[in-house]
Amino acid sequence: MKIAPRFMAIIVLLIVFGGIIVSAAFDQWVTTTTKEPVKFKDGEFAGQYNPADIRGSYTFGDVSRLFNIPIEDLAGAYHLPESDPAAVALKTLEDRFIEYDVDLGTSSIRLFTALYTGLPFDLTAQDSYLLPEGAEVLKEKANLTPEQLEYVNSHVAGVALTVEPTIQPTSDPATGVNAASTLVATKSAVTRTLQGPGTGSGIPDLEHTPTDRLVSGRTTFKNLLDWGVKPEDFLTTTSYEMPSANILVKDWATAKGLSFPTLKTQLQILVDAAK
Amino acid sequence: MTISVPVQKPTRSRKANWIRGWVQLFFFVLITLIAVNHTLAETGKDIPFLSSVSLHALCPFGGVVTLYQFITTGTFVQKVHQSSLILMIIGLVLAIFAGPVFCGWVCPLGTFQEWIAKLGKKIFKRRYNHFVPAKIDRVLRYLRYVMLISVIYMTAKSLTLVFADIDPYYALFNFWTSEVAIGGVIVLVVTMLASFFIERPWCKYACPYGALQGLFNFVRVAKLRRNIPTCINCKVCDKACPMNIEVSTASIVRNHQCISCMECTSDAHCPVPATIDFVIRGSK
Ligand code: SF4
Ligand code: SF4
Repeated sequence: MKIAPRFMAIIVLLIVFGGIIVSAAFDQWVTTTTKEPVKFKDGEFAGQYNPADIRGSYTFGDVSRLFNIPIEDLAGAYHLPESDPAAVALKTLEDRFIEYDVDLGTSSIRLFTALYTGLPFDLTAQDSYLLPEGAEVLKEKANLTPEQLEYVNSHVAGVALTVEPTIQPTSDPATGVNAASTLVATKSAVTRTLQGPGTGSGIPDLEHTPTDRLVSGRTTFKNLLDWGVKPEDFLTTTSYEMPSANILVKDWATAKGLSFPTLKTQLQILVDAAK
Repeated sequence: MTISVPVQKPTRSRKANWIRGWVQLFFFVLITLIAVNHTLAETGKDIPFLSSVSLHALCPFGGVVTLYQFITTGTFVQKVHQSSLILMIIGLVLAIFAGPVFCGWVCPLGTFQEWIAKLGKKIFKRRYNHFVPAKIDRVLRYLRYVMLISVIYMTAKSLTLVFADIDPYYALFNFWTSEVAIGGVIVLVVTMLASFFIERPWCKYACPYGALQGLFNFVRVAKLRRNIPTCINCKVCDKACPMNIEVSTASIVRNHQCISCMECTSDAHCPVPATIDFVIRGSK
């Protein structure tokens, strides 16, 4: 059978659009990560997106687009990297601000967005916190009510926030590992003023020692080794030698200038492969 | 021993393959409108009833580069969506059917290069598309496989869409936005300039998706066959081929660079009816 150009044109259009239609019919034609919060149904704000429904899978770019907040304001409020702040996913915040002992994850963005845009938000629903810079942005750009202002002032993270960890030597001091990394901290005795993001303590928090083979901001290199990750695989993946076992992976990545979210995903693949 | 073939005058002259031009124009306009709508959507002024998705979601090559991550972790490389995988499958079906039909009929970057080629042909006439010495040209044509392998490897290693940094297709439809990478713009400008001398330079020497599609020319169901007894050896098909393939010496064209554009066929440039056509295996 000969294929004439006209027949070829029909085949092309049929296969391209037919394929799209069929995949759409089976809900497989997905062109975005469905990033649309629910909308307010009634009242003054009917039809507008509800900040309470912002999800961790959104990026700052999504929040900026959906709620019309300049990306510069979000970047300033959350210490986002200068290159492509819009691409940062909200779910990475918790790990970025692990040093703070309050919730600085997606719920913080919900709070910030609601206050910035003036959209309704239940301040009593969850105790959410802001970075000092975020609070400043709100005071400067948002029309805060006295009640909201009071809430903001009392929910700024990292200001003279102290916890009291106990420091004990590890059971095997002969390992030769650097002194700071052989300390085990628990939050009960020694006062430690929390630092800003990116100034990681290097002290693994054994209260949160991960056991579920999930790479997170609390994962140490020892965890990786325990989970079966081989130093040579680590070297192939990252082009770096695997460092001392008790160092937090996140702190190491920050010191090397590597993107922790990217590294985390790479390491998770190694951990999963080592099962 | 040479076989003598009765030489005939070409029986009729044919118009170029006009329907392909319309299909290409259709896809070019569609993608342009979607790209513009994507920008408008960011300010809430998008055109209703027209998709405003990111072009990353409409690129079948995104499906190829995300495949490793999708199989190993069930997730997509940053910026790539499930629609890219669907388009990759659609491109695959077309390629199994008749080779790189996507390149010859759909890809807006290919179309854009062909439009510049029309100007190049006017300027350089018969010299157009014959500037690169054959020896160098032959070697350069394998560069796109190097590109394909490195892009897939680097994406799998970094889990980011590394190709976006040099992608001229994305640059062409996003040059007015801040999303475009400077590397992409440079590659696009170089491609545009080269298109004045060479037809489809990006497709010939660099396109990783074209490289992958080209492999299907060895196995495509509809084959490009030359009917040797009726061929008058006028070499019009060779001159018509944008990819400089010597169609006139093959009985079945299996060249990895063929883009299934049908320009060489008896429905387009070949002056003898039923002499070179896409035919399904076993049929005349
Ligand atoms: S051989 Fe024919 S179909 Fe293939 S690229 Fe050349 S002109 Fe187009
Ligand atoms: S197949 Fe090529 S060489 Fe043969 S008649 Fe057609 S155009 Fe001429």
